[in-house]
Amino acid sequence: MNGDERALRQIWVEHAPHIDAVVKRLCGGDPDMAADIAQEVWIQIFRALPGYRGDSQFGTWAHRIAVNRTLNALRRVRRLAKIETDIEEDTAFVEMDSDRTFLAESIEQAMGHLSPGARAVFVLHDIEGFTHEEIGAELGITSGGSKSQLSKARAKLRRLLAPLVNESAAGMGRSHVAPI
Amino acid sequence: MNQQPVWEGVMSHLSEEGLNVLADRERNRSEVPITSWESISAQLREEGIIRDGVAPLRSGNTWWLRAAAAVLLIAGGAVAGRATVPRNSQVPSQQTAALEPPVSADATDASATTVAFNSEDEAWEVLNRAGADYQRASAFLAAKDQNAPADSTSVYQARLVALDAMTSASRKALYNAPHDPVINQYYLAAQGAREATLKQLSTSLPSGTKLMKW
Repeated sequence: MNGDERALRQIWVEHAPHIDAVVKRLCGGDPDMAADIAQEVWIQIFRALPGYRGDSQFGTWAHRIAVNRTLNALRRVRRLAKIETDIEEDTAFVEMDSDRTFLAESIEQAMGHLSPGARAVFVLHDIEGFTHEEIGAELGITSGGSKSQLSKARAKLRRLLAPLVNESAAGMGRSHVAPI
Repeated sequence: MNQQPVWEGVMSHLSEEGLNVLADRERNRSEVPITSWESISAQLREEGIIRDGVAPLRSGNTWWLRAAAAVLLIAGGAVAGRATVPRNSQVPSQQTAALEPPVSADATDASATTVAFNSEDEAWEVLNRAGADYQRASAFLAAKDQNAPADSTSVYQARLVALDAMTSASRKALYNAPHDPVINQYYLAAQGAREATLKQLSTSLPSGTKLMKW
């Protein structure tokens, strides 16, 4: 596989829909930054490929790299730099006036309105299946801080996604709703 | 115009369960990649991870290698498939049927005569699909293998030893033909079978014991 573009491309074709989605979710509503970071992630995956020993599914292995690389990139642009302080001071959930009236039509849109730290915790726990201990290790916070952040992130998401209440009763048949 | 009535009208919240449903759906959502292979490959080329000197194999100069690898893939698949079934167990008829080559008139004709392909791409597509089908079928049979004998642990261990040998051999082959997709498939198939067997082995161990390393 070493050096063979066709084989490497096949890996990208197979896994990019999921790997890129992970990066996009963690980055929130910044498509340009997400695209730049996703590019970095793929370069890192291919750099690390010779070290892949097959101890886990390739997708799982690549997924870990994607999460680590994305969080590092977010730290680099200081979007996660003060997450612990945010949690302690609870400033992550101080809403702007525009936030109070905003209602989301999809979970993706709603996640874009979470603080970077809260979004990271929600994405890692509720979507990617990390434990609070793992999240604590990734983000440099305590597992208690992760739990607290998740609880508040979920509360905010539930409010932002209030337009979906009727759909929820109908079995969540669609991810978007008609205007109120 | 006036946002307040809207806000007051939606004071209710999405339920916890509703949010869980959305999170599950988000987990499984697949969308168009935000990266492009052109951009990634350009950087990989700069870093020397993609080597332009490594051209794809042409069918003219190494047809024998590709043909041999394809035969190896099919023969190896048959052997590995049979190895999945414990030797001293009664095999359900549907599993037997799944392991045997097809016996329909069409299939017999196809194996006895030349299968026509319109292009190399079409042939590779068929080969890739066959490889993927083989992997899925192996995983299915391994998962359905409820008739393991009392000494199934030793059967799985023996199979792992064999698969490790296959992996090692195909890895060495990749040094000689790193760009050959058939050998790459063979390597990946062995890795996939190894993972499936590891799962089988871990479930066959006596209660209270755990597979720590292989």
